[in-house]
Amino acid sequence: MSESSGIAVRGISKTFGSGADRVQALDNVSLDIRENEFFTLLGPSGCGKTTLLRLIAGFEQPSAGDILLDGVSIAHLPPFQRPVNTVFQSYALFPHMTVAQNIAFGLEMQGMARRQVDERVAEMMTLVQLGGLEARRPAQLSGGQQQRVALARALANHPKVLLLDEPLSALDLKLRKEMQIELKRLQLESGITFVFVTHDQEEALTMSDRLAVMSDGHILQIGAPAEIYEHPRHRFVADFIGEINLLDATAAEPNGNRVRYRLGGSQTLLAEAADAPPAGRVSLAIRPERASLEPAGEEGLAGAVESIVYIGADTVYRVALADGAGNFIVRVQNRAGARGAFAIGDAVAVVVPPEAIQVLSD
Amino acid sequence: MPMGWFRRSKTHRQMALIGPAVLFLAVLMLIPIVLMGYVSFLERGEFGGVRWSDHTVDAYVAFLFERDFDGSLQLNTDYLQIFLRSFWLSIGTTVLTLLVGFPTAFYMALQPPRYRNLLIFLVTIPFWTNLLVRNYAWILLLRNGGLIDSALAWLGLTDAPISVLYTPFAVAIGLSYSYLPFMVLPIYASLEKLDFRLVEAAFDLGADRRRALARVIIPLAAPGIAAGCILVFIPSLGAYVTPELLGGGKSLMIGSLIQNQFGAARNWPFGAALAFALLGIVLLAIVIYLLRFRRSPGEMT
Repeated sequence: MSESSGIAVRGISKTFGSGADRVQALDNVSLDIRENEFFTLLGPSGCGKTTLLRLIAGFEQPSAGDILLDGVSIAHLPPFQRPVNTVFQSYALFPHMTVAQNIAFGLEMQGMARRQVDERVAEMMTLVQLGGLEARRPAQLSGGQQQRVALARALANHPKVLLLDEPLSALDLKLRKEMQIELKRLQLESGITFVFVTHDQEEALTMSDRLAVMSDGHILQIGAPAEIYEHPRHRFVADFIGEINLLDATAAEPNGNRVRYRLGGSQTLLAEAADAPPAGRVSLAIRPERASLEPAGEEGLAGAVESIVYIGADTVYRVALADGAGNFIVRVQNRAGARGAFAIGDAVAVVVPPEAIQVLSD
Repeated sequence: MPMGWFRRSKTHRQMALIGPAVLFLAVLMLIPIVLMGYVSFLERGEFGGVRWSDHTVDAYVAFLFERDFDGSLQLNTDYLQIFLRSFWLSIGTTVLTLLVGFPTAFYMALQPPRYRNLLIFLVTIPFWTNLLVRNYAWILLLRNGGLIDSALAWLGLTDAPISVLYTPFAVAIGLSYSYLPFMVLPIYASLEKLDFRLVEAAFDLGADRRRALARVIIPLAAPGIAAGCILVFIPSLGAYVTPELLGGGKSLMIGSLIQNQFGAARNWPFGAALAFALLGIVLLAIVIYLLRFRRSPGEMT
């Protein structure tokens, strides 16, 4: 892969309005999206992810910065001159056209010959498994079918990049799971770069090659799903992706290549030291499934079981830590022949392996 | 219970609500139309009026034929030509109004919602002035030596009088001005409902502004455009005051022709028959509109 292929976002800022109504939607954002990658922009609503997508599509002009596609600036091209197509959140299918006419629209705009257009439309109908619905109008289709038409229409032009703006948010859970798999299949088959916007962290983790977590107009962290999940570098990222325990702590003394952190009272935890371990006040981030519960007296955080929730595959224990160090959630897999479970009120030790602790500076 | 009669049944209530409108239409619309239809099948009176006991279809025959000295019918297209002239003038007026009205409506639909009501109010301002006053104003603007003529001459754009007043073009200008709100408001109503994400989708798929307009915006605004055209075309066809004043009465239009029959020509049956022919054309236009747009694709979403 050459260095210039894919999308390069360089120092993009975008402000809307002026004076007191001024809103900074994106603040000096830089990002590289590789060719043929399934890349997700993840964040809560209002974080700027849709604005970034609209800037790549060309519906908005950046206030500052540049966007390059395969090394060429596209930031100031109108949307109809960009080799980029969009699947809209609302699908935005043309209500006065049939399914086939919708899919053919982009091809006709390119000036493709009628016969080729018909061939490509047929090919697309097969790809999204909608054969037989060519003559229907969008209003006569279910939500899932409309979704597929929107995909077929956007893919028909063979764009270099496909932008997807929360395309699954209007579908029910079962259909959403199906479309997740479908989208992944389409991306692998077409070899097109997908840029996917969502606020659903589970969707982002299951589908993406890499994802960017955004908040308040900034990109906080970019990485593969496992990296983002296992090694969040910000409190916000840790908190937004999945469930996590966040404990306030101060660095006590280094201990070889490990550091001991003091939580309050006599409670301490030993964590793997990063290259430059943060000093002073920190947050310790620990996934509930990476800790384990042992009877009181074992080496770990002392506490008492406060609540127990059985959720099938797992049981979730909420432990009130001693010395006011806060609450700790432990998620234990329910295995056959496992040791006797704990009951509410039991004194326990929460055991956390040093490598399961992510130390975040506040 | 004093209001008991009012609540007696759904049917009674509906009749009470719709009654005034039905009465109004029956007395002021239906009876006059039936009367007029009856008059069109009567003999004309010697000195105006009609002979109520003599029935004939002469008035309708006279629209297309002339009775020769020997009593045989000869085709006479004079009246048909007046109808055609009015027809073309109405088409011209409609096109002119559409050319001005569509961009206006489009501009209005693109404004922030808080300005739109103000713009709607501004568009309806021509209605606030008396029709005669408006037409005399146009005479002052259009006549040779008038405001437009002087301005063009002063700018050196013309070296002869423009001679626009008392031409069909002047009539079309006057009618367009009067009926512009009828064009702008329905088009605005359909453009305001238009989902502009569809326009973004068209851009995204490679359509430039012109093709997004032709392939997406205009088709979706078509019901409004058609309604506006009908609302302008119909009153233009029967217009009387504007053609008389701005057309100078040189070329007869339907409205003036009908007025003549009830006035100077004292031929009430023929006037009534002409009015019915006009009504027929108008109904035909409405039927075409209904057949084409009754189930518009834009409304199915």
